[in-house]
Amino acid sequence: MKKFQALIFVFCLVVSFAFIPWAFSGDFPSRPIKIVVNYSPGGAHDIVARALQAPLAEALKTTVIVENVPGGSTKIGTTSVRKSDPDGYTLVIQAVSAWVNYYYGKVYDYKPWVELTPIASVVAFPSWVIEVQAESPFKTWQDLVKEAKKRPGELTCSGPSASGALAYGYKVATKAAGIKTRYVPFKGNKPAQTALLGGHVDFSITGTQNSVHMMQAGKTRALAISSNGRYWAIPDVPTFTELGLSAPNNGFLGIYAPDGLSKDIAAVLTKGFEKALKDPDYVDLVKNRYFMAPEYMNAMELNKAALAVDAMMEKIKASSK
Amino acid sequence: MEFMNHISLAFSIAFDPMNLLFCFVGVFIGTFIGVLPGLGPAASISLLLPVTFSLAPVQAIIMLAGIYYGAYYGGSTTSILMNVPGEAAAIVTCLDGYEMAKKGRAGPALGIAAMGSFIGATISLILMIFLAPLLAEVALKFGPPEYVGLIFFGMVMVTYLSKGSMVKALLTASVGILLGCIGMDIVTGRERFTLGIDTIAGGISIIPMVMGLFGISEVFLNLEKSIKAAGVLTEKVKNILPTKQDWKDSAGPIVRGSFLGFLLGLIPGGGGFLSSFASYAMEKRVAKHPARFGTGDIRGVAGPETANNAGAQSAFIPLLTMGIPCNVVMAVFIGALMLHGVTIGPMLILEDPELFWGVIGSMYIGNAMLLILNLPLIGMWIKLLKVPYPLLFPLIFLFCLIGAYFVGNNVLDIYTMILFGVIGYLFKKFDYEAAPLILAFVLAPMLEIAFRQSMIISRGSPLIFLSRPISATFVICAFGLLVSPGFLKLLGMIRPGDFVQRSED
Amino acid sequence: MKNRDLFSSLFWLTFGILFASGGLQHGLMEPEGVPGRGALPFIAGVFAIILSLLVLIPALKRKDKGHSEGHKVFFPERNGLKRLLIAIGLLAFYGFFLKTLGYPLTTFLFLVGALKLIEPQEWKTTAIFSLLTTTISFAIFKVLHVNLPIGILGF
Repeated sequence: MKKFQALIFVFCLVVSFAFIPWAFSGDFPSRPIKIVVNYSPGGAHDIVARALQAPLAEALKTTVIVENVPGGSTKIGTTSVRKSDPDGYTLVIQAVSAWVNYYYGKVYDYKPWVELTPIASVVAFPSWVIEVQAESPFKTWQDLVKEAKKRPGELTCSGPSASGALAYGYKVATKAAGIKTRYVPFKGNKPAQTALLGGHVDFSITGTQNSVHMMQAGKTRALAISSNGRYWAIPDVPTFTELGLSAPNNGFLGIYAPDGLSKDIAAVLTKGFEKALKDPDYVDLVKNRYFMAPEYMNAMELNKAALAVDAMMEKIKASSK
Repeated sequence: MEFMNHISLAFSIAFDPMNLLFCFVGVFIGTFIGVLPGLGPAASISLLLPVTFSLAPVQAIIMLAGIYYGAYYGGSTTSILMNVPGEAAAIVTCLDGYEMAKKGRAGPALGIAAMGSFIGATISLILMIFLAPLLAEVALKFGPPEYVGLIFFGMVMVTYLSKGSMVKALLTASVGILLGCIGMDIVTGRERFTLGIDTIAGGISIIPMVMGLFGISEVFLNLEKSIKAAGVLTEKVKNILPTKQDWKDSAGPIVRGSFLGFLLGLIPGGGGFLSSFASYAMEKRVAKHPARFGTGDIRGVAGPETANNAGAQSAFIPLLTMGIPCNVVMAVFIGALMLHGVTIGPMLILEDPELFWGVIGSMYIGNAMLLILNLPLIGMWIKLLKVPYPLLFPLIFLFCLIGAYFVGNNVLDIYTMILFGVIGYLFKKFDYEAAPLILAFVLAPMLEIAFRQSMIISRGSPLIFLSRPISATFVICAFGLLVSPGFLKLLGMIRPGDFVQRSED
Repeated sequence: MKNRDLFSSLFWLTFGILFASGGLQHGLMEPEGVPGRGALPFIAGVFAIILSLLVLIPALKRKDKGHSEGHKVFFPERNGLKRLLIAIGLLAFYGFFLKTLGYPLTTFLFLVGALKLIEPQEWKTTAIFSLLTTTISFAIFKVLHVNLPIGILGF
């Protein structure tokens, strides 16, 4: 009887091996494509990646998987993609400005936007918004600047973190306006905004989505926005360029593949994204829920835009020394 | 009027068929793990978190909350029938519950435990619906200095109210603070103590940590000796419905327990074990014949069971309105809410009323479901107690492994979990308690950032904490507690630690 | 309890010293009187040192050599340590092979190990239980669209 039981066991083992794949061959893509998200589920990156899943799967005729690899200030996920095979089945989605900031914040010892192969950009959004409480005496950015000049070092500004895109935005904006205020970092956009609403700080720098929500609820007033032009969701808010300040404009989420990807496969992927971005569900979600623009850039445009962000950050870094 | 609006919103969301389903799944799993010794609610919520990724945030939170309070119902079953507390809060229930079972009155004990819990939850939820909006408004007035006062007070309470030696509780809390320091410093944006490991640059992840400390370690403890069949009272449980006399005896304890539990649930370190213990102590004090306690007195089951469930619900108020976790499960909830993109704080109730009121409504319905699950269906749970442990523990291990991995798709989280499993095991062997460690781990970074923010605002003057009335009150209370270890004794309560030791003698 | 308190307090003492000195290196103060990133680890480290001494000193004073009343044997059974190490090893095995072997195979092997090595079950129970658990959990994850690691074998 013992023998019989052992036989059953071996049989079970064989059965579980029998799921053996049909992979390893055929035209690209013949396997599921994986998009790595460097953040936990629920954030903008994750939502965009998941919104792309269905339309991209249809465009490329394969399954698309989203994998969250959070932690290490985006480095864990990015580096895992960089190290994986350049076969086009592993991609990463990332706001390039965050990469650039982390690079200059010494998180990375390589430039991911240079070391990886650009595929396409899938969404664009204004980089940041400066806002005050709805009851604040500051009606415009100039009001705030005037008060800050009267009482240097007295006004306080809350922001979502000590480093990263918005902390730089704060530095750029105050430096360009020639004012001195104090920056109070919080853990994330929401707590920083809550401190503003409780009247614990004088103004706040925040992401667009947050700002639009609160403005529509009548709780805050945006004074300035860092955007390529007037932003359609809050068209009354002047851009930094209008205010005479030079600041980075739009941010964008780029799709990248490991270095060494063959040109043909890269082209297939880029085409796939171009097609997927036209999906009405995707456009609707990105636009109406997240107040971003489903703007497409091809690989070359993406690369150019990334290098521009890099150049600007280098300039800011050099001037702040 | 507003009250009625909140109630109708709460129930309209809670009665959505999908939400009902997830509420049921939650309380079912909750009862299940409450009955099973060795996998508490904190570990179970952690490991089921990845499964909820594909759900809407409301559904996910409803389900996870169901696991949490469901575990309290299940916990009383094992305490009464086996004298084994399924989770810490049920220790007190063992005293009179098991005695009742030995006298053949397991039925009424289980019945009054479930009904008391239900009544406690009902009263607690009504108070919540009144108080939560008020508290959210007050919470908006909490700036960094007020948070410093509050969290400092909370951390002192946590160590003060822990079960064992106070020195050791403070020690584990400081270790928790130190572990919480690992990772990115928010104020300067630079790393601390990461040893160059990328995975912990964002801090040690709480999910594998909790699963290790509260799940894996328990299995390790069970595994080190060969497994014997557990001694379940095998007679049929009859007469679930308590008699008229039982109700008369229990009415007082249930009402007192509800309010006591509600209040203690609001205090960090206060819910769960402390609620049930405090209620037991109070009933003993109020009773005409205190000597009957410990010999199978129904009041000793009714009071504590009511109180711990009332406290379990009210702990959601400080969590959802201020982002302050009052117990370990709430600390895990912070992580869960973050993963679902929900930021807790004073704005939640305004920005996401569906989530806020929906979860509260679902808790009421969940409690009603639990009443049905635990009374007519009690036989099913008793059968579960007979599943052999050699088959059970590989499953518990597997669940924990999957849970740890899928939170971040990172194998290193599995190793973190194993490491904390070993640490949790050693904690038990060396008589340390893990709860202060986890709470300090979560609270310390909040305290640190609020402290430094206050210092930026005040330009380095610590007087800011005393010049603001709210923070001054908290700071003074906390110091009062620290200097006078007899503080609670004056209020007529004994340190739970003394109590546990005595009951083990 | 003497030896145990001695051992654990010495461990925490080292732990506290490491963090306190690390905190010192990270810098206690920023400009304008704002505490630096080393301040909290330093203070908590010092606390840990003081508290561990509070556990250590009474433990040293206690006379018992560990045979008196209240002393519990560390491992109540002789092969307790062995069972524990096997359990840890199995968990580590899972973490180590999950990415290379893929979910179903690793899970199956893990379950077989857990059922056979610690409290040995019959082969038949082991096989059926492992296979069923693997298949059912695999199916559930597929239904819930949880992305499972794909091993070198392609599943």
